[in-house]
Amino acid sequence: MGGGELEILKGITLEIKGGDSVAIVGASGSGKSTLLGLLAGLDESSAGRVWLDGEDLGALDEDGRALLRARKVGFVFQAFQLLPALTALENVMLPLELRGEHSAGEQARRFLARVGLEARLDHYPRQMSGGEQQRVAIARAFAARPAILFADEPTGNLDTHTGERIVDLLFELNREEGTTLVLVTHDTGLAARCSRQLTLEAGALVGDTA
Amino acid sequence: MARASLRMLARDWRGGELGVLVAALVLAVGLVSGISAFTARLQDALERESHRFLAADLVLRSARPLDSAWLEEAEGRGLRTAQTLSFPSMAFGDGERMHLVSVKAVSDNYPLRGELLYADSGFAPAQAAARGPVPGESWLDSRLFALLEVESGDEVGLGDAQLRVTGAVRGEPDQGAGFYGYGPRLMMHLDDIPATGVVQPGSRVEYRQLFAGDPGVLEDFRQWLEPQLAGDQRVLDLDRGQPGIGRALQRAERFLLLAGSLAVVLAGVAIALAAARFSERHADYVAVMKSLGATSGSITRLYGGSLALLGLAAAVTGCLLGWSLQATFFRLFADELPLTPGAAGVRPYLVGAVTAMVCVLAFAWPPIRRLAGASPLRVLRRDLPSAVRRSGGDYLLGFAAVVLLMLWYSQDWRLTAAVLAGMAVVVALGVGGALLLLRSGRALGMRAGSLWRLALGSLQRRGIGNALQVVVFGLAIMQLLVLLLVRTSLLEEWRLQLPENTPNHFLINIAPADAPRLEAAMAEAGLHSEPLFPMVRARLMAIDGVDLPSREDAGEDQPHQRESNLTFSATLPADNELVAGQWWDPDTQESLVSVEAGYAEQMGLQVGDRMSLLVGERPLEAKVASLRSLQWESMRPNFFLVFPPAVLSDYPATWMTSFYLDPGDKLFLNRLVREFPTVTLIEMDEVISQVRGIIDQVSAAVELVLAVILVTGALVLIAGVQASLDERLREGAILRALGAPRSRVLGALAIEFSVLGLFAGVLAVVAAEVGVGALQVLALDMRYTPSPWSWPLGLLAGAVLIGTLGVFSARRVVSAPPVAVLREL
Repeated sequence: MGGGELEILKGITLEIKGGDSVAIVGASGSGKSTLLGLLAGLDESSAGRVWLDGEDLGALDEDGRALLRARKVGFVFQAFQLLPALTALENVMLPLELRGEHSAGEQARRFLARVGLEARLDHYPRQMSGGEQQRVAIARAFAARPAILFADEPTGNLDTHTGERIVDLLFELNREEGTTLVLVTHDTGLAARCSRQLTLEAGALVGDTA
Repeated sequence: MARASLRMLARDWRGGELGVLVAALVLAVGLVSGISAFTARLQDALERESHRFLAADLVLRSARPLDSAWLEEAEGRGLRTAQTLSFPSMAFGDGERMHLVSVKAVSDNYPLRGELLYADSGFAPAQAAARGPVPGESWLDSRLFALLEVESGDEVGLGDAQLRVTGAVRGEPDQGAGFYGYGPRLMMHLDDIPATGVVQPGSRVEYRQLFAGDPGVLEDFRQWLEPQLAGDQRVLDLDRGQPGIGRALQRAERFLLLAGSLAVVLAGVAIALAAARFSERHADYVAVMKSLGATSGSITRLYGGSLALLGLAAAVTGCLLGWSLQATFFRLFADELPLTPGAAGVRPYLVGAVTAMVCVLAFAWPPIRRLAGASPLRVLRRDLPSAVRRSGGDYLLGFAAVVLLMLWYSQDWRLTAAVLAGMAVVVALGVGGALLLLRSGRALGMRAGSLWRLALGSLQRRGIGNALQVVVFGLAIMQLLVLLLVRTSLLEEWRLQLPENTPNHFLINIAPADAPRLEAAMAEAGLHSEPLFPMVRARLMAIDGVDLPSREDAGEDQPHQRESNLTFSATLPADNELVAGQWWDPDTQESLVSVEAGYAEQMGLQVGDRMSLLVGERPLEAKVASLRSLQWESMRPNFFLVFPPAVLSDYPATWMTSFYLDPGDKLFLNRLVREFPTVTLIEMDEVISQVRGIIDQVSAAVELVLAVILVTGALVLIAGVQASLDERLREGAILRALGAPRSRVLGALAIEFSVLGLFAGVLAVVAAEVGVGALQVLALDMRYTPSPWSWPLGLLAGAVLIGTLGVFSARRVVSAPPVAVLREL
């Protein structure tokens, strides 16, 4: 990350327990997205180690981490990151298929109905509003029943009202599925709804409500 | 504003935004100027090579002495001149020895182009001569030493003059010009002609006035000269002097131009793609500038200035690239190319600069100009459609630019039309067919696994973009196929004209009594000869009872009295093809004649017409039974008029044949002329090897250009993939974040590109067939020949080439860490 001179994260030691909901907060550039990327195994750290559900991420190669993500991790991104080539249904089916599940279509339909999009299964992302796209993304994240869900500014691209409804949905599903939730946000209201808040400042952990 | 433009360019350059646009522009200019310089240098070399055949740049041929005022005019204009005079005559050697020779008297400066080869004696090694024989001396064909029983230092008699023999003439640059000159050569100086007394008014002689010098001056001189020529005087250029070679060169030239113009079309598409991508990526930036108060006008000026600077830089870089491309090629293939490349001049770089300008204005500017219309609201709402979509007018402008550029390059509307016809098929089929195929592929993908669904879904989502890609790839493959197909048929045709072991010696005037003995002698020497043909000299006097005027009295292209060699044959001679009428029964007693098609057209003859001929003093009447086409280039005995054996057999005939003689077996000729002193031998081996040499050179040039085009095709394919790389990076990152291993992402990419390539291949094959058909018929004067092997080749090339290149160009999709990609975009 940025060469040897620049330390983005320093001396962070933390443990997140199963079923927790954790908000990582901090100013822009404080390193919270970097921390999220490392925790989720989307990136490799230059020093230090990360364990995800008992597995040492540093001991896995990129494909090994991909398999781990397929089995245990879900994502919700600020920019939704739906695959534009696939319909809503296909987007939700994708992680299930990557895990080799046979009833992918059925499960995907169920979760899309859960987020209120049962009428828009065959629509493409470009045909949907931002809120609808984020709901598809949430359905995609939960459909694979991940052990842990990472969300990067899930309301960042949405208006307040839509954002609130998305957050409600996120927490409802989190409760129903018993998923561990780790999210990065600027939104103090959203952070307050989490059971634990981590505050980052210039790459260092300066606050932990746990 | 210029400084602001420069600043923006610098910033964009660091950001890597301009890379593709500039690369495409530089590539286009580099290719065009490179190919143009390459072909210009080859053409220059071929032209110089071809002038060797005339021994000059321009030749005036005449049956009468030439006006000396013309000579003074030419010299006054700074042209170099030389004269030759050719005629058949009898040469006298030692004692009673004499032989019919073909005399060529030359002036001091002969030859102006090419090389004269001579040797000290009959069989000494040949060396280059700076000039022909000096007055009082003569050089003889090697065989004449034996025929006349003379040696170097002896004298030969020609008319009233005695000439000292000082060498053997071994090669003349323009000996092809004397195709039908009978008898071995005797070369002498022009100044000795009056002393011989053999050239009288009315003698059958041929004067040639040779000119060489600056091409512009020559062209002016030719324009000045041509209106003053009498009917029997002709200016010869390569086409008229050597029709076979002229045609081959002209085809080669068109072929090279075709390659050049297709490359430009491809580059134009690449530029348009890159510019569209550039403006898409700048829509946000413009929205920000507008929200900060920039007007549409200032944005237009900013981007216009940037593009102008960019065009200038790309033109200069491209010309440098073009120069080094062709220089490298000539260096790499220096050993294979039998020609020394000539100078290219400045035109290729002018062509490159104009190409850059047109490409910028027609392909790059329209989408970028539309940036000024971007809504500032985009700052707030990223999901607003960008205003940079192409309109119908843009496509029309691009099309017009392509047509104009191609017309300008080729200066041949038929070639342009043929290429455009092929392209129209590609575009129509491409956009329509590809969309249809993509849609049905999508339906199929719905039922297939996630890998296929992803690949086919991705293809369909970028429907229009992919249809365009299919068109681009289709064009590239079509271009390769067209070049391969045309090249194959060109080379085949050239090779067929002069296959190995083409007869290179003719024997005529064989007395009927000598014929069996001669055949035995040839068989004994292991020579394969064509059959012996009887030959009867006759003069056509009337058609359907109407007397024909003499040649002098007839207008140009009008039927006239004409001397021809007749033969008789029971069967249709080899290489002849019946085009009208029927061949006769072998035993027919009827007075029939079969006429060569070109001769028939010239004389206005049709099947059923009656021809009246005179053989010596004896009349011969015959009805035209059939018309034949034949291959004059085959070097086999060919005849305008063929009769049934019964009709001609009691007319006085001599026999003729042709055969192939290996250069190492030349000594056999000495034995032949000694045993059959009355037989006339015509040696064509030098001419044939010259023609073959040119054909080899042209073939090498064609193959070189094909290699250049192959590289271009690959570059354009890569550029096309690069245009969609951002999107692919993002999709790859999402897939990997969701847990897809690299192999699956790569698998989906491979499927996507291979399917795209397959579509492109189908398109390319269909379009190539249409294009090649149009080319063969319209531009190259050849027959259309379908090529079934282009199907597997086109499809395979499409799928494998594009699949491999696509995955290779998009390999970053799996190598970049997903988090970095997702954060950047």
